[in-house]
Amino acid sequence: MGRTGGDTMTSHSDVDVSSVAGTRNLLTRRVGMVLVLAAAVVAAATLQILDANPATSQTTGISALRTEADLGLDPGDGAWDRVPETELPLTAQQTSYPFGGGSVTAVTVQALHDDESLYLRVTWPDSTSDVGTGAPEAFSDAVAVQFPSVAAATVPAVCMGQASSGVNIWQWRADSDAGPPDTMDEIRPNTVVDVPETANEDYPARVVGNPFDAEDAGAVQNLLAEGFGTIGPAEDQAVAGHGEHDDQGWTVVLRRELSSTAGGEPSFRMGEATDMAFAVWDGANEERNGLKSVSAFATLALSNDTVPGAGSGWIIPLVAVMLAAVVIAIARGGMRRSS
Amino acid sequence: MSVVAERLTPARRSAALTHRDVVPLVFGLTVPAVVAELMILRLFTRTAIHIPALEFLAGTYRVAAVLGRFTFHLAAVLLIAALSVLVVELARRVDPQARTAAAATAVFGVTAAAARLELIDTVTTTVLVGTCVAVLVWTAASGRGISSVPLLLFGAAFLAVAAHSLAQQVAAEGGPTVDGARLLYLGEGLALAAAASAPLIIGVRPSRRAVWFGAAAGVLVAGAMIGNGATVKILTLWNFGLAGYFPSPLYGIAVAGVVIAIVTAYRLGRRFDAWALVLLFVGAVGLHSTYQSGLVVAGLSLFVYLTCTRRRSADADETSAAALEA
Amino acid sequence: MPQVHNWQLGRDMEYVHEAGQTERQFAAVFNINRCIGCQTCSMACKSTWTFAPGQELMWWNNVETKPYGGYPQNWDVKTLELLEAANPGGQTWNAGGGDGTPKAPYGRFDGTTIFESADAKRGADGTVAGEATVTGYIPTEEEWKAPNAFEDHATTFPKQGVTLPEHEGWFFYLQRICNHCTYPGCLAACPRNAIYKRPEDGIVLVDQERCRGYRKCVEACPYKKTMYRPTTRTTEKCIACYPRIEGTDPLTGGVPTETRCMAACVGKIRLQGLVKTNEDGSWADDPKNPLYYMVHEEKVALPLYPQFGTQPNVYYIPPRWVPRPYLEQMFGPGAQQAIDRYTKPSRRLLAILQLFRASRRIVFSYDIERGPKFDEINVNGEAVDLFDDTVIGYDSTGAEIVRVNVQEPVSERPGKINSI
Repeated sequence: MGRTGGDTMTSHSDVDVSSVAGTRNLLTRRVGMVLVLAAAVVAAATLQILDANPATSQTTGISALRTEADLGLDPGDGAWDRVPETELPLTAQQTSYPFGGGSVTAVTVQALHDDESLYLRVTWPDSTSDVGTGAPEAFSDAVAVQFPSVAAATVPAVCMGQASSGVNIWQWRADSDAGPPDTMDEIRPNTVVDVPETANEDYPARVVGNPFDAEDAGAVQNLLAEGFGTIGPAEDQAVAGHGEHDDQGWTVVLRRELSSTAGGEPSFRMGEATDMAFAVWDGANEERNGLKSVSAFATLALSNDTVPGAGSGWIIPLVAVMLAAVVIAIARGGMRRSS
Repeated sequence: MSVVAERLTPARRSAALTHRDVVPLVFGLTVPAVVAELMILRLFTRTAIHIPALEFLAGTYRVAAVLGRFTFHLAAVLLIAALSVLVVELARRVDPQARTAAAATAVFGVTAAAARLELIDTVTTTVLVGTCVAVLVWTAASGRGISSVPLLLFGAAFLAVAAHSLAQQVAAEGGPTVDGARLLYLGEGLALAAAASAPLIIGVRPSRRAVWFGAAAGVLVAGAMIGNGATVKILTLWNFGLAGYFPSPLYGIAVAGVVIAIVTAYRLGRRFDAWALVLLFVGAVGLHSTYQSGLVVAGLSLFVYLTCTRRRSADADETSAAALEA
Repeated sequence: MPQVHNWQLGRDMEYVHEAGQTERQFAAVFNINRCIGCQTCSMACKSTWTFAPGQELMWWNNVETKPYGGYPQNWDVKTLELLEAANPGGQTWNAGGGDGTPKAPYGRFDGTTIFESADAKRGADGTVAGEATVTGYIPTEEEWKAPNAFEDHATTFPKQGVTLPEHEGWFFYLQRICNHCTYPGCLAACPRNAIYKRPEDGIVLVDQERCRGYRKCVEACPYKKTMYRPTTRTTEKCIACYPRIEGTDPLTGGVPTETRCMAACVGKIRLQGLVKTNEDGSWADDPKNPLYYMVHEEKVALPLYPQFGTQPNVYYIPPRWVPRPYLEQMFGPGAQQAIDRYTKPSRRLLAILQLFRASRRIVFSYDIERGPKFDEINVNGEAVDLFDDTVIGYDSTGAEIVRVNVQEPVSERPGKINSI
């Protein structure tokens, strides 16, 4: 890398730019530095105590529009047809074929509410439907959405769990959605079962109340985490969901009541935005636990608007573009005046 | 030497702080705070929740979480101060570049404040922030020759990601749906190119030590990505807006480029260049929050400030300037 | 990564957790030479613990015919291949590297363990490259389905018959339960901390409340003794019949008692106990414990695949007739010495071997009372005197629970008997 000519040729050390100072002046600069730092520390401490965040989330905003429809858990419900879709990119797969087929690169998210419940519909491409987890080597397709325990859009301060406020995760699993097998024949055809009728005590996981036990597991696990390895089921399993698979992939609907009194679970209020992120597991790829694809952040806000007709969404960007033009005009004006 | 000192430090007479001291003073505090925030909050506490087998570190985690939030607040407060100082300092200059940068930085500040007060929505915020960054990149790059390449690449990357973000937001508002994945690929590729070419900004052949530092950091990052891709990619996505689409070694090269540039700048005593680089790449291309965009804006304005200051002292006393650099 | 001492490897090794001392460690010696492959142990376990729906393919205790059999199929060969792929040509022992003490009795293993090789890229065995901390693979359903395939299959059937010291055509039974390893692979791999090692007896258990069925442990356990259950979507494993070990099972009468598989052994091949350990996971000096005596004083019982690095706690007296390279691969470099000492046993070893299945209570210590010479036998051309010594076993409280003579009691049938 050689000298580049132009201004940089003559650029010199910052020492003289910032200051070339005698001892007395250095002292005063030091005092100034201490004063600025002290003021900043006080201001930061105040913000910390007030839990006020000077920054605003800029991530993709998803509006949960109001619907009058009697919405169920059917992912194919017509009420979703006109709901705006947001595509969130996922981190590329970490398998040996980073560009290979079948890797999930994005989820499409829609949101609705009916003043009672929040509905999220998540769609992602997956050519294989991995529902059965009967065999030791079979893993389930799954999707999860994660919120800060206290609804807030304060990237980066709160998201993804801190000791002071953890995260609430709703995980839908294809195998749980399909329900427990009715007979062993479903899992292992032609297997002779010596003791077909057994008591609950012959299922230790069931006895101790493991929420992932096939018998008890709902389609959606409501989980809480607060730092290291603390992920565990929430006391109330208040999240419902259902997914369906077609040629394109999975479409899953998740539902929970807007307000929650349980600790560690956010309440969704009108006009309040909260961060969220999604994760997708591809069972065919032996994905489970940390082997997953994770989305970028988005913010979710409840809206009073109902599902819009086509085209009305142009207005806001139009205004924004005009504002941009004004900024450029000001900048150009500034240049012209000064030159 | 004495001539320069006389010329540039009228403060000597009063022993008081002058406006000249304010920029290095504020940035000298802001940059370490920003780095601390990145390390503690964005890297440590976010990784920690994904490390399951470390329950015995729960206490450490709690302390780090509180400390992380504090460093974030501190960095945010200092960033506001730094941006304000830059606006004032740049506005005092007569050069059109400085005036433009001052205007763009001020508009960003107003935008961030308006967004915080919920006076404007996300789409408007994105458009305004994108415009400010575009104007600043153009201003910072003009007249720089080849050293403008990394800045232009960075600006293009930022705009590509912002355009994707905007497309998503427009779609979310009920507008037409655009397939934005290509914009993300483009943005990520440009961002990596910007980082890899960062040493061009310094414009000096990097020392052997700087190359060693850079290579070590690059190998570390590439190794971590190969070894534990999932966690590292979550971190790059959530902190820098990079989804990890490309082969891991490219990320190593990108990190190496940035580290080489920063180390070279420091070793030459060019703190401002180093600070600006840190702010630019810690802010990065992901449109996460006005805080992170603020870091980018501060980095870019600092480059403009630096160019103007250098030009002035060069005009004033070329010989002494050259002598100092040597 | 923390360094821990693995005495079976004669060196320190990497493990994801610090070593932790257990008050006692579950351990057992299986004498392969005496096994008749009757599977009574397998059935004793199955009828006690794994008879319910979803556990059909689950054999916490199994007996497989080596060299072809395996449950799951080829479990050992597959893991050996993964290790070889990670460290080609490097999986070797330095037999001179040890000092013969309980810290390095078999020399030093210079290869890489399942923990040390995990960073290297994995073999083409269908494993997902990713965040594994342990080298391993998940056996498919198909591989679990035939637990006794290749039963009694010998390598060849030579027409002229076979003779010691090495049979030309051979097979042997390998009895396998969870090894309750000192450095368990399953425990290291669990991202949920759902697997734990009990401080009182070193038994390794899966917490059925925390388990989320990720099957990382199934992947990691080199002995494939953690097993997935589809009806609960969790993983279950051998629990070492802990109510019996604790003496809390009503049948035990409050005294530590051997597990079901041990107690049911028809061939009297098994002896199980609880040994004292040091802080570094090695065995504390305790020559009065029959297991300690056989493992550390006589070195007649050897760990199964010690090179995996988990420090397993079931020890085997290797079969005398099997080619030594095979035994050395399976039990490490001590195989020949173990066979020599077993074939021509010391007076003390011969007495201790009488303790196998003499009581179902756990023997914590023994004493030997000397008796008269009663026979002389020929071993490989050497004369060996046999003495009718008496071995006495004591329980955890020091109370005598068993007394056996080396010479079996002989009863003569009376001349006139009731002719039914």
